[in-house]
Amino acid sequence: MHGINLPIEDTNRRLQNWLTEPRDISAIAIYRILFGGLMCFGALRFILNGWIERLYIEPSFHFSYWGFEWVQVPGPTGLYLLFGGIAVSAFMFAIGLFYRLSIITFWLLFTYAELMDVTNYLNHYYFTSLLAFILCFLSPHRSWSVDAWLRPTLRGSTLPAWQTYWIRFQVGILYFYVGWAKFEPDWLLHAQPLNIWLPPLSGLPVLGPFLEFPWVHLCFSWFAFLFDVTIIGFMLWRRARPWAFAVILVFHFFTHLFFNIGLFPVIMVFSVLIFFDADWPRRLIAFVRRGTIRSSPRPPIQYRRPLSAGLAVFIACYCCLQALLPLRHWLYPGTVLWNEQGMRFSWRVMLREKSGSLQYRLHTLGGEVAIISPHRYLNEEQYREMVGQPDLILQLAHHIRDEYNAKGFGPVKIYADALLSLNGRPLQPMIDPLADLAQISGGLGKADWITAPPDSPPPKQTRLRISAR
Amino acid sequence: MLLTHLQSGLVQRGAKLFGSLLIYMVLASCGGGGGGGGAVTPAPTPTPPPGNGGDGDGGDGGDGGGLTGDDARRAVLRDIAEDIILPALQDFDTQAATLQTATETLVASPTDTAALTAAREAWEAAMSSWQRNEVLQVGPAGRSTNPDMVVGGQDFRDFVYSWPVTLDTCALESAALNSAAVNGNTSINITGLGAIEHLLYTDVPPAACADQPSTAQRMEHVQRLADRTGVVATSLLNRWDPAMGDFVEQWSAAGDTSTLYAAPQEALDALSVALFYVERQAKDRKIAFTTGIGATGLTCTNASSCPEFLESPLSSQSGANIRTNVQVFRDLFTGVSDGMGINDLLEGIDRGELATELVEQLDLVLDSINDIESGAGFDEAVRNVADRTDCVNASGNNSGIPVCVLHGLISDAMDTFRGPIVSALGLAIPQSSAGDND
Repeated sequence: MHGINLPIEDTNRRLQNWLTEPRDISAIAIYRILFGGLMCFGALRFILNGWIERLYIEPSFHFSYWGFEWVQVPGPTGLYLLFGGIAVSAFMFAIGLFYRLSIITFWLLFTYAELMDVTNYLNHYYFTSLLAFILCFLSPHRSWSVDAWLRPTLRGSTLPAWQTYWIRFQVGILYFYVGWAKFEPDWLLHAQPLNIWLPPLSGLPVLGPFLEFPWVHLCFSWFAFLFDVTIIGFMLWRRARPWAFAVILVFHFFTHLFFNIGLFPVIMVFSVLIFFDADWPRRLIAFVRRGTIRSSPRPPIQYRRPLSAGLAVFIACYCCLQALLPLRHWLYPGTVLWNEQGMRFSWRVMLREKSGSLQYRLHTLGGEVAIISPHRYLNEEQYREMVGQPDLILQLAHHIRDEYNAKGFGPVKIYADALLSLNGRPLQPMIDPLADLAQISGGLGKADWITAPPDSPPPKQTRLRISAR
Repeated sequence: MLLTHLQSGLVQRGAKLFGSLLIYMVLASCGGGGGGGGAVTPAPTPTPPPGNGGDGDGGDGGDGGGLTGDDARRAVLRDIAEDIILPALQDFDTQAATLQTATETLVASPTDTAALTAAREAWEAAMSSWQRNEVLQVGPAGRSTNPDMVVGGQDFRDFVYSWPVTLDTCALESAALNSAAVNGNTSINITGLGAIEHLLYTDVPPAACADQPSTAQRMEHVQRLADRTGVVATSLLNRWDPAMGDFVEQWSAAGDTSTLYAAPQEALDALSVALFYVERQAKDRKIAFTTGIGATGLTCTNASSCPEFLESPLSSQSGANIRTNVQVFRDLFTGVSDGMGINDLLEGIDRGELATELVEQLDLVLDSINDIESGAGFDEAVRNVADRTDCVNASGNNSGIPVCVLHGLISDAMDTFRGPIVSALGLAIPQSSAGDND
């Protein structure tokens, strides 16, 4: 028996040692400070830009996530308290004040806010929520925090390595899937949607004029794909790391320049700092103080904190879920860019240009027919997002069904005339016009009421050139 | 030490393994892509005239000649400003002045039928002229505050015409009785072209109103309203006039010397947002609400249609208003006076088929309106809609009740605009500035 068990025990011991190796806390402490500061800034920006009114107060209808229908949009006072709470809790965990309480509060409030309306879904909000969740289990407040200053017994100069690895995994999986989501014909062969998005930016200095050329769009498409799928590998390779980080800075500078993606580039840049050596902040401080990068004081090695089996299993399950969730779109027929089944929580970032129109046809029990515009319920931002997402079209149809049934017109039938253009293709119906949406249940199953995706390639738009008259 | 070394080795091996995996996947992707359609064969690009500022890149747009990039966009913007926007404002200024003159005559003889007819004709001409500007709410005519704020917006529009804000007719009659001044502080629901229509086209005040001004008092108030409209029309024109405010230059030099538009695309975005007037107002309010197919609660004063939502029911100008809205939309695409329009931008990126499709659809819309107007007229056609279901079917099938078919035809055109055209040119849609993307 010993002969059989020994290698397993040996492997377990090695794994345990690898995961619990003490590592300088400074990198994660800085991570906490940067993340909290950024989130505090982001929440204040959200409030000051008037987005609470535009995105949550003005619309009379909000889209729910499947399984989270219980999440409701509070009134104006509640909304300001919610986003104020996000800002305050972010500031608190940034400075490390009541860290555990503040990070859990932040995670709960932020996640609640993100669950209030599907049309506001953003990948970097999802990423923020996941990072906050992970930080709930870590201890970056043992150093460079108010908590550590007030409670000397809390202080520590190292953390077990698994805390770094967990964040690295999350960042790595994001980049990995962001890259592989681009492995599809529209992006790699037809440079869509960059072929549509970049030409209007031709007024930018220096680079701008090049953005008119289709070959530039194709180069950008391939570069973005290769960048996303390889950059984490380069960040893990010590010798390539500084160069990789420089490329990351340049890449995200341009994404910031080209697209209205808010804090996303900043978050993506700061996220990869976790791939640097754990003592990089101390070395940086030492370099600033003494002018040499080699004179950083090494923190004392502390005792190993064992990783409990329960937490290890939990983290392993979390990682498996994160690795598998973006693959779920393979369970559905068609392409995810069209049917959107498996689109969210899958790191499919900036992949499609969808535009179209939608109106519902309502048939009452009395035989009356009426056309209902979604604009009766939605603002333009909601409309723009939902018009390309079949599950949201279904959700609003159910809302209209319930409204008219309650008014005594029912049971009503509802059909959708939904025309959609994907990456510049001609308009085509996205919803079966004969499908009575009032009778169709939402959920995660295969949706045969969504039409087949377009089988033609997207158009290639040439460089803008017109003959002056 | 040994343990540290071992762990370090593990990390390094893991890194190498991961890196190798990524490289493998990259290589695999290079060889494995390509499913799902081949390349599109570009349509022939129109041959550009020789030697006109081309940069000779030899790339995808032809081999030199013509305007490219932002220069092309600015050229289109300039033609639109000089050929469409400025003439529309000049015409409205002229028509507003004519209306002022006509109302002066009317005040001198408030019961003179000929004077009243002349004033009404002047109002109809002014209204028709303004309906072009309704679709051109860019720059000073637009709003200065969110959610519909536009670059350079100075809120001129509402002082000229506040529809669909409901007129407060009793407050208007009170103002007439009390000879109230009409100025920038006057509420928009008792001023502008809508208020003038009410006073010109009704012989007596509504019976429900407490204040009952005389005809003379009402016509004097018409003159005050017309005077105010004339002042606003001239002020708005002056904002654009190259000899005065010169918003034409702000607009046409976007991304160059303009201090308001950082890029020509911003001006095109503003124009795009303005064009949605045809969808949101002309199609949804002026037709869907009135015919009853907008399902505004499924109860209207009529059995099926809802003529209470007609835009100009007193003057029976509702159909003419829609025709003007659609016509200016078409003009913006095709250009006028041999100038360029948005279609030139589409043709310039080899998407001329979209331009052709849209213009064909708009021509069908205009033909349909002309047919309706040459018959009983749009207002009467709305009142005659007898069955809402038939109307919905006519809209969906483009066959049947003409006024309902009109709704479907505008829907088709706006679908083309909102869908592939907005995508192809990267144009903005209304209220698209809130929040981030990714």
